[in-house]
Amino acid sequence: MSHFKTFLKRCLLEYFIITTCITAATAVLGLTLDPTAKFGYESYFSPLLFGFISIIPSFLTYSQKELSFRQTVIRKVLHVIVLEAVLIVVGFQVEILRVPSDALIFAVAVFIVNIAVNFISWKLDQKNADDINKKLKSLQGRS
Amino acid sequence: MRVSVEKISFDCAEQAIIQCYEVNDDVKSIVRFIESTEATLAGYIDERVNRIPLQDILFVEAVDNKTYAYTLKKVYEIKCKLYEFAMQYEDKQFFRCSKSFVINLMKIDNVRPVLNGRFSATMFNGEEVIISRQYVPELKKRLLGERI
Repeated sequence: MSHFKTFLKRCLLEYFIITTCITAATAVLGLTLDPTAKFGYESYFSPLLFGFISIIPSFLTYSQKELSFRQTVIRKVLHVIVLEAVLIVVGFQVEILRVPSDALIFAVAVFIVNIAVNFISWKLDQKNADDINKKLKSLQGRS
Repeated sequence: MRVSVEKISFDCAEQAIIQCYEVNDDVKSIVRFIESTEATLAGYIDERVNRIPLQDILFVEAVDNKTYAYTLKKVYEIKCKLYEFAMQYEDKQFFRCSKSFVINLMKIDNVRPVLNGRFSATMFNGEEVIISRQYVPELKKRLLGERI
């Protein structure tokens, strides 16, 4: 499988994780900050749209070449900055955000969702590693 | 498959007999493994040639147009390119895990995920070898039979 296909597959997986996390974050923030608000059916598109927008900056982490640890960390940091900036701009455009203090809370929520997505991705990789380790042990007669 | 091991006296030749319904991939893999335990490779230390049992090699690394085979105690130079080694021994227990490394699957203590979809393999001597993200799906396919 090509690098790009593997990357797209990962993006798709992250998209579903992100939309779930956004739905949860919206519920928590909504109940905390504005528990009496009412929404129409169109609000169901919001996590899908923000999930899609959140995936676009992931292309910053893509490279045909194998990146070094340092390059990977730099790209990850850059990714978080661009992600926050893009989502805050979109947030103000669609009027979810109205004042700078909204942006601050929103930025923290985005950061938490980003950590959650990375954590879930890492847990999935960890599960793959556990499966590989089990198979290796059985192959080596250590199980 | 039931496994039985029978001890024999030293005047008899050792042999492994596999009784199976059909010669499938699992059986072929067992045959290749048994054959590989006999195989050796010419390795050089200070231009002196040594026979290295293939099963003793932890991993093979390419550095500056030279190829080195690492065992638990020694490092040998081998006179073939990394891709030639990989092609020749990939159907045994060896696996190309990055541009510069081929690892012996039988000598991996454990693997763990590192940044950006890569894995790190800890060998039995404690050395860490990176499995680049390009080869991770292939490793999964080889060990777990997953589609890539």
